[in-house]
Amino acid sequence: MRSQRGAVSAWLLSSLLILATILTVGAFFVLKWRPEVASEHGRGVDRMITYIIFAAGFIFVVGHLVLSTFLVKFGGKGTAAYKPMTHKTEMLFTIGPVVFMVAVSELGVLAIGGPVWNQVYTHKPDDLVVDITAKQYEWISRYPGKDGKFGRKRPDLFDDQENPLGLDRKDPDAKDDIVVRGAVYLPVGKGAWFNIQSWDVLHSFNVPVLRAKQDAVPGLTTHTRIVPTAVGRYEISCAEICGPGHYRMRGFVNVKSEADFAKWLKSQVGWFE
Amino acid sequence: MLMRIEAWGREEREPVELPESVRAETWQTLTYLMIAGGIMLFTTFSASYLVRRQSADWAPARLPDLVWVNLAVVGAASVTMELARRGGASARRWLGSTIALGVLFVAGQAIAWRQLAAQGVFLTSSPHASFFYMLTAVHAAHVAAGLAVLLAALRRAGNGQLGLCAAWWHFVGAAWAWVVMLLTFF
Amino acid sequence: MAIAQAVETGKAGHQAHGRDHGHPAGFIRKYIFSTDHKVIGVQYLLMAMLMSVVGLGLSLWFRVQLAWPGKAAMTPEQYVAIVTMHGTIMIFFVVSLALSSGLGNFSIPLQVGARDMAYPFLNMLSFWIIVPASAIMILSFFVEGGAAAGGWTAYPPLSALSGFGKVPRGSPGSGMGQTLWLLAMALFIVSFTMGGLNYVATILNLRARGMSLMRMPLTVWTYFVAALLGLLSFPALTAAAIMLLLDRHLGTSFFLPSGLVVSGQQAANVGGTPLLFQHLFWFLGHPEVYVLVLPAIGIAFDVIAAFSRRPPHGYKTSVWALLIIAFLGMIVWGHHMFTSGMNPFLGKYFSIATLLITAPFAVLGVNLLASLWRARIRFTTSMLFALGLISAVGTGGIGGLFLATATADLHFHDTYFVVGHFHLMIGVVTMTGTFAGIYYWFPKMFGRHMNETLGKLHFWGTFIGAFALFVIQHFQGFGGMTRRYFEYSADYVQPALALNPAVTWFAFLAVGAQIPFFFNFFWSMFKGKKAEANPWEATTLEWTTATPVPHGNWERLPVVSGKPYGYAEGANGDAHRMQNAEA
Repeated sequence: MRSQRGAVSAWLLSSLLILATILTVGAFFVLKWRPEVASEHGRGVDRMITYIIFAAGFIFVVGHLVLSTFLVKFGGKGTAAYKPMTHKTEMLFTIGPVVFMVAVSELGVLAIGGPVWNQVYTHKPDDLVVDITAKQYEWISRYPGKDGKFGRKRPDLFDDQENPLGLDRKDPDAKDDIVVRGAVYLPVGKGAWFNIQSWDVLHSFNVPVLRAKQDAVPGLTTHTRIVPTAVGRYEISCAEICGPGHYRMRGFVNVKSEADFAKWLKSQVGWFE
Repeated sequence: MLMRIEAWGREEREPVELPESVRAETWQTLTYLMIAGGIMLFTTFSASYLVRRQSADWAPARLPDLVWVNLAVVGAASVTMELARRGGASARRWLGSTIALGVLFVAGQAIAWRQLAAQGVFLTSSPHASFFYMLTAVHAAHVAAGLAVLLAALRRAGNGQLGLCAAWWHFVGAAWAWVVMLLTFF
Repeated sequence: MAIAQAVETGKAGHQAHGRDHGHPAGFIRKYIFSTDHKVIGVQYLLMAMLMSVVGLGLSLWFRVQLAWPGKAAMTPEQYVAIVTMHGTIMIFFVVSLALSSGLGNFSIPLQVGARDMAYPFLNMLSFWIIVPASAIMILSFFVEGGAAAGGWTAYPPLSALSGFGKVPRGSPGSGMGQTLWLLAMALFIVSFTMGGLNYVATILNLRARGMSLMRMPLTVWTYFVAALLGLLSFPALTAAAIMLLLDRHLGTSFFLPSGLVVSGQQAANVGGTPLLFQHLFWFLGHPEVYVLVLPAIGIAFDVIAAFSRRPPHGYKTSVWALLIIAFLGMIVWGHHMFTSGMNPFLGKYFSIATLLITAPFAVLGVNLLASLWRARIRFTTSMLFALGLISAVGTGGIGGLFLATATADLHFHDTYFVVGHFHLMIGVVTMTGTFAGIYYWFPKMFGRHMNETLGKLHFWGTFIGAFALFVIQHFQGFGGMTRRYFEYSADYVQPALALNPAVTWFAFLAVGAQIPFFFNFFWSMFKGKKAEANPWEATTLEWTTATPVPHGNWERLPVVSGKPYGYAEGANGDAHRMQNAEA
């Protein structure tokens, strides 16, 4: 009686686990499971993710197959009999997984991940420099204007409507700074180096399609580098809880062709011009 | 449920007493673990101090000279504690002096606070001052815990093993020495 | 009234012992302010069950909002508060209480052969500190501005901008609610630290004669390692909480930087570093994950051994793996902060170090799996949960590979991938372990079995619901869906968003499956099938004493003569040998 009921549980659990494995793996084929990618390092990020999917998927599938097999083979009927493993086999079952895991995971992070990581945090000399300022619940971008210099931001001059960056009228560097609320403009194929700051609390400059994510930390300037590879309009979604309005802290990165970007830049007037 | 739990509490109402030797071991474990936790606490504060001092606004204030006197007091308390631990006829007296020195130390710290405040240096005056007030307060809580244990030991005639009291007391003294060094030289 | 009635019942049921002690004072001493570790363990379990009603209720509420926006009668302000409180309550007041405090209290003295905890009075105090802590946590919903709403991680500046004194207000929940949150957490830390001290002292000093360290059941080993980890890492959170409180109420600038402008108001703070808090928080936060996960794995080892009638595979390597996990767990906290603005070089270090942890975890996983090799599996509810744990450890564990790799984390940080991953680890792994433990020890706790049919119902609902729910959340994370969002509108997120109703339905299934458990738990206390002293024919020490367990646990303390798992003994390999059997 017991063994029969046991056999039912064994088959039930083991088929459920197989089903879960098939569904999970199948989901990768059925679902549109990741957004398109439109940046140079983003392809590297995706390469890294794909590598881990195969490594992790292997463990996931093999682990569940073994578990399911054991359940059916050793469940319910009570025929199997335990014999202690030899010391040698036991060591093999310890050292094997250790070597496998360390090799697979460290190889991935060193060979594929490392270079991409460096790409994101290396400022190249001819990069377009964009200044991003976050506040509850808005993204503000700034370009240095013709002089190529950013003016100083002064907290005491902050005014939500008139002067959201607290720029100083008397500061010559600030005069031609171009300030854009809620949007960033980038030329396609050219590197952009971001200086990211925040006025109030933590935010995170997160553009999933560009695979970019960098926290905006008050009192600190953080950086990230993006090379967009396709023209388009990509959404910025804040990725660090910043208050009840967190969900509506949106913005757009507009990636334009180089000519269009130059035209756009020309049409802009400085904040105090 | 009550029916079920009923049986657990049956007959003996008094807590189960442990043999004296085992009890001594558990006190040892408890004390050393608490010292380990205390070390982690002061390490965390020290790490925070070292991070915070890199900010542009860092301006160390001169601590009142009294903190050095207090350091001497706490050092003397460690010596008397050690003498008490050695046992003998005068152990109780040494324990009493340790407690007196401990109280003197806390009083000294309070006076140091007032001296600093008289100079116009308050909790929010500078990050250095914030750390001074906070660390002295946290440290004083550890001293107070030590004093409570010593008082209990004194009531128990002071002839028992004072080794663990001494370990905690030395930890508290060393922690103060460390805090003063940190606040003065870093 | 209810108490009086209960006392009557107790009296009637106790006549057999021929003692009258239905006096209220005795009752209070025995069941309310008891110093008996078994009573305290059950008290913790009941407290956790009570808090889980709140924590799970909150989760269903916001799951409705997420699946069908606008249908949940909820404002964005309430949403962030509810998400924050769900996380805090579930981690600290449900999982920690049920697994670490509840089952730990019940099992440790019984498994090491002690009469009680080393410090029974301290133990009682630990529990009673949790009561006001829980009350304060829940009452914080009803203060001005509502409950804390900065996420369970309480990152400043948001959590520090209290609106008190000269400090500007960061959000409605940053006011009194956040203060009460910190107060409740402080009480929790005190209680948990005292509990940890008790565990370590009990395990180190109160083991029965013959119980060497390498003869301890793996459950005890995991509680031991977890307690040590907790004791060494909680001081970091204590320090952070003290500094945060000073920043909030007295105007210091530990975490608040210069130049803050909050909703147009300029702050007076100078020079603080918000990142410092994140470092301190995760210095606790990461070990805390192992504090919760390891005991669940330990319980699974014990349960699997008992129901597969063979010793667990690789006892020694498991112990070493535990110790290595504990050590590595203390030096990898930064992998929660890859995108925080931390030095990118440090990010690389943390990535490489974190991935090393996969090795000891793989050893544990392989040992769990190999423990089924040539076994004779009995599919009790307890065993089913332990088997579910194996699957969850594997599935949750490999999610860690993605998040520990800094480059991949650029895409996954603060998305539902993280949510799915940590729910699998500190939600599903911990709770399957807890349930395995509850069904396993219930006969020892109350002298009665839990109903197996209801138990199976509980298992299938929980396992299918939770597995599906959190695996789907991984896919939403692949889709870049950010967490802690009240509503979604972006284009890129639409495919992931379409999965939200399914997630919510599975959440209802997983939570609904707890109803038979609650019913089963209380019903079986009174009406369950009577249990013998050793119904599972298990070999560890708790099964060598009578059921219900007498005060002081044994008439005469057991003397240990061998390994904890004396299964598959005898000529046919179908006998078992108790750990205190005479040689």
